[in-house]
Amino acid sequence: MQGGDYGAPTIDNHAALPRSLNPPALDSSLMRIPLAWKNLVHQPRRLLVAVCGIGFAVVLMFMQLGFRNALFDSTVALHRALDADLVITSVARYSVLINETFSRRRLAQALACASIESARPLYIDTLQSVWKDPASGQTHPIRVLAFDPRDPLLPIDPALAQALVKPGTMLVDRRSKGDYGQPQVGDDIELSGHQTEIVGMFELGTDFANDGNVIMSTQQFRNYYTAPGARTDRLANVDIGALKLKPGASPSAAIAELTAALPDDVQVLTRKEFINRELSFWQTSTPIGFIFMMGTIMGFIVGVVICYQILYSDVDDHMAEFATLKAMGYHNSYFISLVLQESLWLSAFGFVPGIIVAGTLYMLLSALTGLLMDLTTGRVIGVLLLTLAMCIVSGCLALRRVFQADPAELF
Amino acid sequence: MRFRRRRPKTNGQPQVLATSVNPVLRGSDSDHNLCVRIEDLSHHYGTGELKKQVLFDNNLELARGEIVIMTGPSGSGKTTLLTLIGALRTVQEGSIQVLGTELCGLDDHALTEVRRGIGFIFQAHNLFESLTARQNVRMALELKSVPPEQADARAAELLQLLGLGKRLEYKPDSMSGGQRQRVAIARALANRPQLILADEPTAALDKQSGRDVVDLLKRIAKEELATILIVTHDNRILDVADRIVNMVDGHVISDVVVNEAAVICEFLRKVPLFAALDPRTLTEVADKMGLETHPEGTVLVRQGDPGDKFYLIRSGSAVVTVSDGTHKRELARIEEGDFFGEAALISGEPRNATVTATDEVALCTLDKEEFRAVLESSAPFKEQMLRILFSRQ
Repeated sequence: MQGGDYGAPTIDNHAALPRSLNPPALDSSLMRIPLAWKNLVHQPRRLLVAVCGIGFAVVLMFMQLGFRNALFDSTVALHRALDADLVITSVARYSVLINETFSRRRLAQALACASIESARPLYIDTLQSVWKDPASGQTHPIRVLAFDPRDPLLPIDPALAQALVKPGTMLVDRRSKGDYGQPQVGDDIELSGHQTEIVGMFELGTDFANDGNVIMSTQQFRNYYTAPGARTDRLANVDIGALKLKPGASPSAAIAELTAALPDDVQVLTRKEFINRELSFWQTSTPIGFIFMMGTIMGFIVGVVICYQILYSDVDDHMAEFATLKAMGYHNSYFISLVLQESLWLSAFGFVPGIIVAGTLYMLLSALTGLLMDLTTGRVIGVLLLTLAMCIVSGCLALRRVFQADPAELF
Repeated sequence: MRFRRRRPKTNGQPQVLATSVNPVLRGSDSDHNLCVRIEDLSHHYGTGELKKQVLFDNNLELARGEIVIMTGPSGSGKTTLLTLIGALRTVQEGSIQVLGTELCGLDDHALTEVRRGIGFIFQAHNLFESLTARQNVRMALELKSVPPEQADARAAELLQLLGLGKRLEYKPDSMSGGQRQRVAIARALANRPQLILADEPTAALDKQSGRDVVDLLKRIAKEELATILIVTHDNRILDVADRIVNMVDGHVISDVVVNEAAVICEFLRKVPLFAALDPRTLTEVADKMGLETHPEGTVLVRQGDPGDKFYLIRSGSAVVTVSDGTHKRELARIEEGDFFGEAALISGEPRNATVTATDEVALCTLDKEEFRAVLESSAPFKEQMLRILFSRQ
């Protein structure tokens, strides 16, 4: 009596159900609800705190990098100002600070090379030069630079250079530190025991080893700094040789030619190599670069902590909602992108005020200390990348909390 | 104390009290009517010394379009069972099939995919404070890559359905508790889930809001043919249930069909003839059927009378006799799951036999017009019915 022998036809329930929303093969991800943005701006006060914190970290990094760069920029200010295509120094002079000289004959030998137009000596004294402040009577070491005033090696006013020809004269770096008093043109200053008249000012800037600069003629330099009773005069030992190439001569060919012609007690560098060698000395052989790098890392860590704090508390506040999203079928990849979006927004929010404050501080500090604080594009991009990295690192840390959201605990 | 094992009265098998289905008929159940099938499900928490069993060899089936309320003291394992059905936990022992997918052995990623077909309603609304009602609902729709305009329209349509048409752009903090829960329900319903799991959906609501939410769920169950499993302690909403499952100490101790239509529906599912119907028609048929009980000896159908009803024996037995005027001849004895009275309805002729109750019988009945409507609505059903009719002649 029963119809059990007849196989019931299979009915596709899914096809039988009305569905007005067939998912089309259309990527609408661009039009998604910007949950990351909405969650961030939903609590303006927290966002403000976040922006201040991250902005602070950005300023900290800018300042540390700024100081570091100011150090490096100022130590190579002389290198950059030097009017030379190639530079000769003693092989032992791995930094301009090191008082290793070479024989002036090497310049004559260099000039004999076909590609060399001129070979001029630059003399530097930092050991014996003492500046006496007329007001306080206190003495301070100062760096003296000497070259032929008729053919200046540094970019100074030709009229001022001409004035140096007269004995007992000097030019003073306007950016020298306050220890030297307020020297004015026309003042007579006792420099290394000689009354010397200031005939003009120039600008070079201080660095971490030198507080001020003076320029004088080579003739006067010999008179001031040749030790009494010495067999040779001071001018026989050159600190830096500045070479100019003949028009059209290739620097590398010239270096090869010079290296072959000169004995190995001197080295020949292009001006760029000369600058880079100085920088690498400061970066690798002194703790100064490291100290400021530490400062930058500190700023980075402060930023990570602040950003993490903000992201973590935001995630923590939404644990139940995240768990609900997981229950609904959202995969972990959604949460990764959500938290990373939040961290990218935070880095953008923090960076803008950060760079404004840092730019202002750069100008103020540069004016106050004489250090070169340049906000170059490369440095802005560098700090921007650091800021992004900072926020992404903290985002990754905060993600661990998101992964703890367990929809099974919602019931 | 909490997980102390008590000897189950039913030996772990679900005891179907109100329907007392014949075991022979159980096997003929067809899968397309089932939303959830749980077999020999056990679950433990902890490991080693601390290992505790919270579920013991449970069996349970949830049919499509059914509203099941699960009750039981706290710690009885009902929440664990709910999370297992919801693919929120890994199945350790036994089997759970949800919407045709076996959950046992699935990894996290696959479980997440299964969850996309399930609607979850939690005790707390868990809405994003930063999003409007409409955006909160859209969060569910975005899982299916619905284009934004369509998603917006669907979200608005759902919220209107839930009486929140004027609150589309409100954020949760400017809505009442009931309104927020309704937004959460809209979010759970957005993707037309075939299974909805609700945990104390009325706990945070006042009497009227709670009633509204439950009525709404009932409507969804019927209209969308969604299965709804509600865990609740709220006695006020027990009346929406088609079935009430009670759990104690990790065992399903009772599984009672409480709704008349649901009782019939449950029964129809066991009858091979009706198994041919799609779930929606089955539910409709069950809704239209009446229940009659007759004492022993009652003449249920008399030969020669005009046919007005179709009968299905739910319990008891009867005898079919034919009289040629002088002799009475016994044709067959029929019992639970057998049906009669269809020939007169199909042919339009008078009854061709007499059916008499041989003990107390319970009958499911369907009026002539409705019977014909069902016949016309389902070709496989009609085909089978005619085949059976032909074989009897």
